[in-house]
Amino acid sequence: MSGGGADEGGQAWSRHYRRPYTITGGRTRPADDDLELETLVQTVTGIDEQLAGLGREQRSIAALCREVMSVAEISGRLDLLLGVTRVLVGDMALQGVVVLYRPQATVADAALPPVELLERVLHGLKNIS
Amino acid sequence: MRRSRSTEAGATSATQRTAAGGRSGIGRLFPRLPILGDLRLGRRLGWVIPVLIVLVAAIIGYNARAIAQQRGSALVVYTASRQRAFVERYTTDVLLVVDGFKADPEESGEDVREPVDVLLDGGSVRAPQGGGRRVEIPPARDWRVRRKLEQDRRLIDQLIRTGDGLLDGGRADPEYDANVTRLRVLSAQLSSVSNDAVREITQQTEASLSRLVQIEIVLGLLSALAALAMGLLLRRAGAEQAAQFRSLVNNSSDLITVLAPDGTIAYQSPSVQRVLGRRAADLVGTALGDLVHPDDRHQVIASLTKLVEAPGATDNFGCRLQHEDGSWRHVESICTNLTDDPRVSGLVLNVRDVTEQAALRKSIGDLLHNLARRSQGLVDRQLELIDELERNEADPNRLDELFRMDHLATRMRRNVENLIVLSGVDQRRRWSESVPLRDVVEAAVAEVEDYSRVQVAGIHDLTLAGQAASDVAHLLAELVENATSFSSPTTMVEVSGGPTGNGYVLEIEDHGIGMSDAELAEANKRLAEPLAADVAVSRMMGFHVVGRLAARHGIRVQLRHCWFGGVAALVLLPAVLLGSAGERPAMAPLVPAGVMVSPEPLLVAKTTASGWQPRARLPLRRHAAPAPNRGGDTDTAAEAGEPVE
Repeated sequence: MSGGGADEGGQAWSRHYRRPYTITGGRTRPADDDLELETLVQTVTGIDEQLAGLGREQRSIAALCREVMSVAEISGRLDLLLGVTRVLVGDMALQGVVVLYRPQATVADAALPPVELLERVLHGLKNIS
Repeated sequence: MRRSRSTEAGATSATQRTAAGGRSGIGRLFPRLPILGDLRLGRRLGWVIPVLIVLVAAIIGYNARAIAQQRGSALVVYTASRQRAFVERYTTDVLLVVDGFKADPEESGEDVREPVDVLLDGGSVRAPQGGGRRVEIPPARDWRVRRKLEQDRRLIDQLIRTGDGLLDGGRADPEYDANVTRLRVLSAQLSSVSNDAVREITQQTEASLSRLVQIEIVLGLLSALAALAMGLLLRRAGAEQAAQFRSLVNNSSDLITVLAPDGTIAYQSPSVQRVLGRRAADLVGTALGDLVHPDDRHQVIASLTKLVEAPGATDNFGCRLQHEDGSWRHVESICTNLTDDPRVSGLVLNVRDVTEQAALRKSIGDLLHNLARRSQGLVDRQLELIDELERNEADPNRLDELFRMDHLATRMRRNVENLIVLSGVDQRRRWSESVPLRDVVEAAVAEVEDYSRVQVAGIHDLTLAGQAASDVAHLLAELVENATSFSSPTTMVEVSGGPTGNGYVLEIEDHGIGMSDAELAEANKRLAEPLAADVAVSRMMGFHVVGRLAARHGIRVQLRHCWFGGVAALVLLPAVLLGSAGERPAMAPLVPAGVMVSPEPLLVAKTTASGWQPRARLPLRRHAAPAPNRGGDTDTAAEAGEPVE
């Protein structure tokens, strides 16, 4: 929950006292309802001067997403709640700081893998863990 | 005097009655006499004054009577001696007429009778001073005088008869020679008897005068004794009053101490024996500061130093004083500067032992602390649970509900931790590692009911000492809560920060209607001097908690008017609490790194991203009224969690 990649001491305190709802002002619904876990995010190049106006979590997201990254991955790496990450990324997309790549859009014309294949992959993953 | 001694036996009871406030005896008899009334003499003094008055009246009366008697007896003596002259004149007149010379024995005869008649029966005679005035003479009373006077009268009758015989017969009368001889003999007899009468009268008068003088001497002696008794009783009454006052001072459970302006004890009431187990005489000349607990010494000396500057002023302070056996007694003292009063010329301290109250307060504080600590544990577990649920929640609606629960639990934790602060038990959780200042500010915002209206900007990349982090967060939360409560729900509350020469200042600004100068002064006073926990404090818990928390860490908090309306709360964090974050040096000019907590972060971010700016501080007005459209319940807060368009 302690965001912004702040790796200083006092993380325990911050985890204890900082609350996630303040990051978004209590919002849980992203500006873009289609924002899914697998949506890919990339920071627009040359946008650095605008970063100063962003919140610290958003600046961390912007720094992280210089490489394309999914929403779920951002959430995991920055230790942000998934719901909060979605709201933040949605705001950034609206602002034009990041662009979103929706997997549905990119693979819309391609044939989806068959369900049986996905189920087998799932079983295989379970066996690994 | 014997009676006065017997009344002294009841002196103590009379004193008690007098001390009870009743105006007995003289005080009641002479309510207008200030001295008697003030001294409130005992009842035993009551008899002295009437006796003295009677004695003086008697002396005056006897004096008047003696003067009158003396004057009367002089008149009697004069009248009696005049009678002798009249007898001789009559005798001469008779002989002159018989010998053919011209005289008036008839008139002389009448004159001879008058004095003796008046002396015997009373009446008026011509005054010796003449002028035709007549003086009344009372009839003689003494029997010896009356006998002589009656003999006088018989002899006068014989004399006048003999004189008449001579006048009728003339020289031709054969008994002429015998009558003349008889007349002369009678005249001589009269002279002798008159002399006797005068002597008797004089003797009587002198005897009565000497009696009067004796009585007056006795009366005078008695008056002198009565006056002496009154003087003694007055002195005794004064002494008793002084003793009474002394016993009040000595037996009072309070200490009365007079401090010389240099802080040494000039006078100490003996009750110090009971309170501190020390002898008053041992303390005189020593410094009061030596008795004060080292932790309290600074504050006591500061209070006294301030007081010495202001003659006539009064100050209160509490501290601990050391008992002879080494234990500490909690005392409260009221100190008055009487350096202007030449009879005192020092600071008068009235010190009361409140150790028991302090112990009671401590046990209540412990109770409060234990209850709060248990609640704190429960709330912490609740928050951990909520953390877990939030982590796994993908549904925005359910996450929203979890956020509301999270917010309520966070506010509950703040209240519980405030209670721990108020309990006065200094047993904080220790967070040894330092915490980013931004995290502290955000934690504070999370604890506020209306957190969505709070906008944090321009907090520098510093860290705060771990042991102060929670306290600073609660302190900020109280100030932010105050700001949101007293401003319109449509306005924002801004939290910003900036380095100063001796630390870092956080500023919390609202856009409310402001506070009046008096309210501002009152709030600042409470911030600067937090009171002991009591009922009054619980109603104004916010500022009190802020004051306490600030005092713990040497933080200074002040409220000021904003030039655009509203109030700015300034929190000066001392440099000793601060550290630099990461590789950056502390207090270096930084690119303001705004942390936005706002429903529309991207739209308002630029307005506050410029970092710390010194602000004009102009006195503006505000009266504290809750902002409109606020339910004040928790639901409002939950709704505030929704985006505000």
